[in-house]
Amino acid sequence: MELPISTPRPDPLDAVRDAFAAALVAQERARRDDLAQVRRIVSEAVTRLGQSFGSIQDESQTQTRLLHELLRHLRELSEGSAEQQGLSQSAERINIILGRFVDHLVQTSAHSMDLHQRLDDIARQMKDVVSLTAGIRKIAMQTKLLSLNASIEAARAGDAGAGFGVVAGEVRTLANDAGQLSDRIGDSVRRVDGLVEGASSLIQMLAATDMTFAFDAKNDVDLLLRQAAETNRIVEQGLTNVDAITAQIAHDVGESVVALQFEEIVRQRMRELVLRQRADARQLLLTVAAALGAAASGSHDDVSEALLACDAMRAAETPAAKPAPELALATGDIEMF
Amino acid sequence: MSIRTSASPDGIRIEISGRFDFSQNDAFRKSYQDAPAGVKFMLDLRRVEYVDSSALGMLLLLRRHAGDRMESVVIQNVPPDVSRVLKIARFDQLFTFAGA
Repeated sequence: MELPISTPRPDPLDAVRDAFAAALVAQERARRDDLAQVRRIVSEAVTRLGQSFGSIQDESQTQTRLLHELLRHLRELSEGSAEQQGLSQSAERINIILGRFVDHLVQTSAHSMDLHQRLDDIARQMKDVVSLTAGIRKIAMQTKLLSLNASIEAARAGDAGAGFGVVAGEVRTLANDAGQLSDRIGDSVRRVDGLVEGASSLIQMLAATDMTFAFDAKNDVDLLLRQAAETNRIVEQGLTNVDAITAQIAHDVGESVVALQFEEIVRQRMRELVLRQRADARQLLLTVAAALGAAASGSHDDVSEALLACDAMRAAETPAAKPAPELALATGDIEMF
Repeated sequence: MSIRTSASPDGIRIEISGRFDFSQNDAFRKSYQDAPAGVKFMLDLRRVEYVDSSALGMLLLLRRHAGDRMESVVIQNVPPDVSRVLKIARFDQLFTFAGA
């Protein structure tokens, strides 16, 4: 800093002025050092902030990638992939198999009921056979009575009837055989009837199945399908949200990095302040020197002038007279420091 | 449980009540086996409490008897529980369903 230091005079005013100037110079140097330190701290902080924001953005992108992968796996589990079936496909396959099973069950029932009806018909026919054997038995009994009568008539006829008596005896034997045969047919038919009844019971077991299992299974499968659909919906929503958050982080980091560029403005402003402080101090010093000189020489006019100059300088420094510096920075591409 | 059969101008009306299962086989068969060919059947299931697979089998036999045509057997007034079973067996593709 250059100060108007003239040739030394044994004047106490000069000594005051020189001391004042020296104090100002020292003060200014100290402020300059302080400012340099502040600048260094700010600059370092800005660099670190810039690096941090860069890391945040990188990490956010990594996080997004991981989440996408996770959600993709979840979707594959639910929807399936090229290699393996998902929950939805499994559920649909189960549904198809269940449908086929129910069809088969109903067809089996229909065939069993048909079979049961046919067995009923057989049983009815068997009953007819039993009543027919009763007819045969009746005829056998009558034939037997007839042969007895014939034997009596043959005995009455004496020797002439002997041959007829033999024939009557044979007819009785045949009638007895016919009766026994009809009894055996009756027994057989009753046995067949018992067998038919047994077959009917077996068929009933084949035909009659409770169907509750089918709609329980169907409900389970439907639930599975609904869960798969819900999972898909959540995955889709999750992906959308993750993308939105990542975009927001990128935007915010961009904004922050842009804001960090204000540091350049601050630095410029501080440089201006130093220069201005230097000019102001010089001006103040000149004014004070002039005022002191005028006071020493007794010139009242000069003193008043110096005081007016001081007032003017003070007025120029009031806050109202100084417009606030505008912090305007175009938000554009992110630039790291 | 019972099966009531009556003739109507549209065809033969069969009303089933209680449990529609294997034990109804004879009565159910008798309700249609003597009907003339080409006649239409109306099955009223309003009072049916339960059906098992043999009931479904019997319905298929009736359908076969009536000429295996969808419109030849009309099933009416199906209670919700019974309706679920018929739907699972996909009977809506084999029979005509009506409210009343």
